[in-house]
Amino acid sequence: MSDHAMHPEQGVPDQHAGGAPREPLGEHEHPTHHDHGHDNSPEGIRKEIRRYLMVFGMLAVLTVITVAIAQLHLPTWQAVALALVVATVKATLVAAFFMHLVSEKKLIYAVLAITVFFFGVLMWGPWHHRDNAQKAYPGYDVNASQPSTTATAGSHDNQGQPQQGH
Amino acid sequence: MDDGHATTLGAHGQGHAHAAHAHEIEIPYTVHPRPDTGVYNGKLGIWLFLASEVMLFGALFSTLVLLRTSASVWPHGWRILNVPLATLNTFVLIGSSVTVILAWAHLRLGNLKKAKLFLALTLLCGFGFMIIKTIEYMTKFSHHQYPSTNNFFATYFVLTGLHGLHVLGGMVVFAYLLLTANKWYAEKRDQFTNRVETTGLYWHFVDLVWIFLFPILYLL
Repeated sequence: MSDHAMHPEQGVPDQHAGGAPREPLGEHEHPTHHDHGHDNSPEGIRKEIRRYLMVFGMLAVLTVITVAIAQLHLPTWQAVALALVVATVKATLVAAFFMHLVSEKKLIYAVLAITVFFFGVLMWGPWHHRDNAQKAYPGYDVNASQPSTTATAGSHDNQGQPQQGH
Repeated sequence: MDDGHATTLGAHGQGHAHAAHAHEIEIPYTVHPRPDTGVYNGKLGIWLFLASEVMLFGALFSTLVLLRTSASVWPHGWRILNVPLATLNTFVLIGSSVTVILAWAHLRLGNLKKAKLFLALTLLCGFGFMIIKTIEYMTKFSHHQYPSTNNFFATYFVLTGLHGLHVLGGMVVFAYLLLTANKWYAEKRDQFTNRVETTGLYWHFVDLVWIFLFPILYLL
């Protein structure tokens, strides 16, 4: 236990910063009760381990799926949408189970809600720009990175190649 | 005058007493949840840090979307990047996410030996990831493909480079945790367990960033 310095009779010393509430006294009797939302019994932990391995399996399968989808060489926007859906599912699995967001405290959710909002603002920027650019420059092609409809079906060569060196 | 002197003495005496106790004073809430936040301080700290990390990577993702949607031509990642190597790296990274959480679980089970084994495996995965990444980079450089080559390679190198730095940073922490594991486990087992948990949270985030980087850069 790391709390041996917390002598109830002293009641001093470490809470000066910010006048934070004191750590509850008498916690010494419950040395394993430090983590909320987790069953700390050996059976509970073993169950958790099995769940983690299952999540790993699902992530592996989803990785194979996303690579397989890419082999189909779908039109850009379908490919983007599918890839993002699979990535989001994978990210949700990691966040929910590995980062145990399925059972976290309200404050953490609040922090994440703010983060998600501002992340949304960041992503809104480029889309906003797309609309503006189209208005400002009538010739601006918002679908420039999409395969043109005049291209031969099944060929994506109109996507262009990067300059391969000089 | 006398009062002032007495006060000074008093303050000095107090300060001295504090100094004598200094080695016993511990950082609060490293183990138990703080009543008003509901979590131990380290956990709140790492989540706030990860929130800032989301904004850091978010800005770069946003830039990528802007550049790509504005470009008249944009190459397919799978044409010019090494998808098999990146797929392998994806497995390495999600594998390391599992090993770090298993290390944490085994610490809670009281099995330091297994916990250290899984920490070592996590570090090894980190090495594996960096080696594969280096091979990829070297191949690109040998083909004279640099960040200055075009916007595609600029975003590719910046995003994977920053991500790689995060992997490297995680590896440093895992090495430290491994080297000090015995001492920490003997003296402050619960705090050490929480340290592994918070490092794990960071590591999962690094994994999460890769989960998006992989399809966006390599598969589209």
